[in-house]
Amino acid sequence: MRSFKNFTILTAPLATALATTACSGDIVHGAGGPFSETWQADQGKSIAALEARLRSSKAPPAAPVAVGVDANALYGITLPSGQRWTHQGGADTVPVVAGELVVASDAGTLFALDAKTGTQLWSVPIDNRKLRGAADDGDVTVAVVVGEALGKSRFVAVARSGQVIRSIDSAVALGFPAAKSGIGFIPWNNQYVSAVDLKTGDEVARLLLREIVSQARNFDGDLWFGEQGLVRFDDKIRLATTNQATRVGLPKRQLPGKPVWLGSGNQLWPVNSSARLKIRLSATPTATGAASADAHFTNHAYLASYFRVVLGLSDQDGAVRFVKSLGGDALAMSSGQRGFAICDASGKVSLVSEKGGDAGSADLGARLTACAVDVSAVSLDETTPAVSLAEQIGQALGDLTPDMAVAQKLLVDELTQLDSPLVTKILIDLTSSSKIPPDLRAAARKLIATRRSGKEYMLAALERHYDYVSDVLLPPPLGPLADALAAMNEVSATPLLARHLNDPANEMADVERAAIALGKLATPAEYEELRTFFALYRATADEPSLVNAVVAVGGALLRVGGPQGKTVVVRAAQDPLTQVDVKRGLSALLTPESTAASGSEPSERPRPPGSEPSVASERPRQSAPAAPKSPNVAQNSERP
Amino acid sequence: MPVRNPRTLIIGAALLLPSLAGLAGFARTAVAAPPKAAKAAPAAAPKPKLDLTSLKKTLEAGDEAETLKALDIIAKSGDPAGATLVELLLSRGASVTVLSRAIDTLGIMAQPSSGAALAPYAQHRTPELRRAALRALIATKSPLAGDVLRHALHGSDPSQRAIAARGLGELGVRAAVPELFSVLPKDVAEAAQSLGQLCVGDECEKFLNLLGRLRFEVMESGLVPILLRPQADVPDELKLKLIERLRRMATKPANELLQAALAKFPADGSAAVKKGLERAIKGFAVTEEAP
Repeated sequence: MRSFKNFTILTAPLATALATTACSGDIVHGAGGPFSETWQADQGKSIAALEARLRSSKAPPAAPVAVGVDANALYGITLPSGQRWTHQGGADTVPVVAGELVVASDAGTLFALDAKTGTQLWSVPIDNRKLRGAADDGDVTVAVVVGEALGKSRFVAVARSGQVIRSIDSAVALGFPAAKSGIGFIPWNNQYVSAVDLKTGDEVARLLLREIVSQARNFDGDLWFGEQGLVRFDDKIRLATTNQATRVGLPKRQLPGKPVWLGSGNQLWPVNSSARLKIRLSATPTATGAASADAHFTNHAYLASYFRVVLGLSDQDGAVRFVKSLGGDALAMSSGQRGFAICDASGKVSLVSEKGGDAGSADLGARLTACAVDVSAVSLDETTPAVSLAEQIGQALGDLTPDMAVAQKLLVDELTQLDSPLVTKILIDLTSSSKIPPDLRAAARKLIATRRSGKEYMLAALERHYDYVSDVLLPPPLGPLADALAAMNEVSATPLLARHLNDPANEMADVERAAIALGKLATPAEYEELRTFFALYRATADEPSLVNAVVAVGGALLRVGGPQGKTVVVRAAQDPLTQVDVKRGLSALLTPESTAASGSEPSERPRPPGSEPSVASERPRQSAPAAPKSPNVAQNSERP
Repeated sequence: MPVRNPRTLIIGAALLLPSLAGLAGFARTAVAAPPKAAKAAPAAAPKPKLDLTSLKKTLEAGDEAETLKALDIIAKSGDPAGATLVELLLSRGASVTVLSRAIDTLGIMAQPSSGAALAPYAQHRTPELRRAALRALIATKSPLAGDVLRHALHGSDPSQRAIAARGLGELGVRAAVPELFSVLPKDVAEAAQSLGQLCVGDECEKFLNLLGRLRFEVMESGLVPILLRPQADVPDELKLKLIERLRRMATKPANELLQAALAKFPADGSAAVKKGLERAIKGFAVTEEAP
């Protein structure tokens, strides 16, 4: 356990003098000196007694407000829609919404603004320290400020008049504080929360937690302590040492960038801390009922940000409930009693209903480097219902830039868990988007092959061809579509697939898969397209996939072409100009058992000698056999 | 601008031959009969002088060297009946070497009836074959060529687009004007020459409005043709406007272009335009009224 050698209790009104005057000596009374190592565990008695004493009162909830920061000013707006205000001068760390105030530090000064108007209420010097955390009990604001040297923490309590009524310097790091009814709650040493009477300076109680505690937070008037999980300051608090207090925690799940919820209360949040601000979790704990047994999170959900994407996740299992894409990187989020608020770098505050629909928006009027937003005490009404989750994911994927590959992958993974035909459309759109990185496009293609719904989107995609004039510069994902449609026995796709056979803009591997699908699905109506392809490539096939495609089409000609088709294949099999592997494949097709098989009922056939199947880039190592047959088509497309 | 995709027509054309071939497999018996296009050829068409039966047998035998020799014989003969044999060869398919020679042969024979046999090869995956097929199609002046070339303009091969753009002008395919406008700013400079040959009225004005917005090198191949077009297609007023614009550019390429137009100017061309060219080359405004 670390020692606390220096602490100073200051009661003089002149903060400048006070901040530098060390009045050493043990003037703290009660359960023991604050941050004292000699404190004896009291089995939660002191903290339980304090809780009982304060139970009837409530800490003031945070004003619903968003506060943005740029290099020149703070920009505020009350939510859901209110007057905008501007406070000239910046902030060096992310401001904190503390009750009805906004507390911030800048250039060695701690100051408080009225959250509704932006009017400055007070300002006190803090000796080049910066704000780490703040809270307000309605009369007194408490804050922890720190210098560049970590561990040099100072706890200050400032009255509305600007009078510093308490200042405690500590050699060890103090966490994010809370306040209620004249008591300051200060986490320290990742283990304790000292409750200090702001008037007397006495440590009136101490909470010992068996998990990391660096945060003391006020959510809608209730205090919670912890870091990764939070313990509620209620009638169970005395059981905290035995892990039986009222506790909430977020479900564990993999998320891009490994975001944290509150993070360590011992760290600073500089306004330019880039990615750290943009990859976060946000949740507001709540507990209803006297027993407090049903602690959970408001909306039964929490938010996860990754730059321009915000996910709404179930607080039970982490399942994705909604997805929002933003016009700028997410800088701050807050979960309300109902609904959510997200402040992004463009200066927009998006209000989201509990179901992920729109609940309005506000504009801070400037591009931001940091933001603080708090709607933990309010409910936001939905103005526009959310579209389906599949559509939300599709929109987000479309909005993402190529450098957001991690988020894109997560969204695609989520997408494929949904049972909606729209998923097929979204995956097809992904393969046609130039914004999608190659890896993700490959993943989307692979997934399309596994789809068994959304036929209408598949057919619509096949209608499309590469078209330089119309700027359609990516052909549709022919191979995966062919696999899927073949597995679905979708005969209506055959004219479209046949047309793609003879389009040189398609990748050869895709053409091979289309040929194999046609081997299964083709009807006499496609005879001429098949025959043209066969004629063009039977003697010019110069790669395995093209060889396989020609042989597959040869099989289709035998199946649907009648005597005419058979003549074409037989003559090709005899022609010395026919490519040697093609000839071998055709000969195999023309063996008696193969001919029987190509007629109607598919059956197992021997593979023609030397016809190693080609491997399509995103397809599993599954062959398009030189003598393709229906069952293999289905097997191919069912593979992931 | 949405344009009609001529794919359907091309595929239809491609299917003509197979259906013929299908009647008798590879051994088409009607080879001896002159093809329809041959009938339409001028009365002075050379008398058949090829041993068609022997050539047919050679072309079907699958011996690459012999096939190439047979193709040379047909190309040299200029006999339209030989073209039919080559068309059948294409409809059956062959090695790249043979196909390449066969396509060139049809280009040399320049029979409009060969369009249907050549059309599918404009979509072949081997770039050399499809480019050769487009060139041959242009040479045949087949009725199918316009649609095939238009389709090629939509394709992914830049060389193919360039050949197609040029060919559309050569063949006078007016229907392709919107597509040519679409590809002109997209690195298909050959579209400029064709637009210069094909545009009428507002289209020419639209084309000239691109002067200054697109690089001069892209536009210049279309400017001389416009100046040489008859008054019925391109009014003199527009030509004079163009000449004046080129004069004011006062660059060497613009001046050379004016000189080239004057050198090629038809004897029966507009006197006003000719005078305008002469004045502009000397540095004067195209008309005396002009500032």
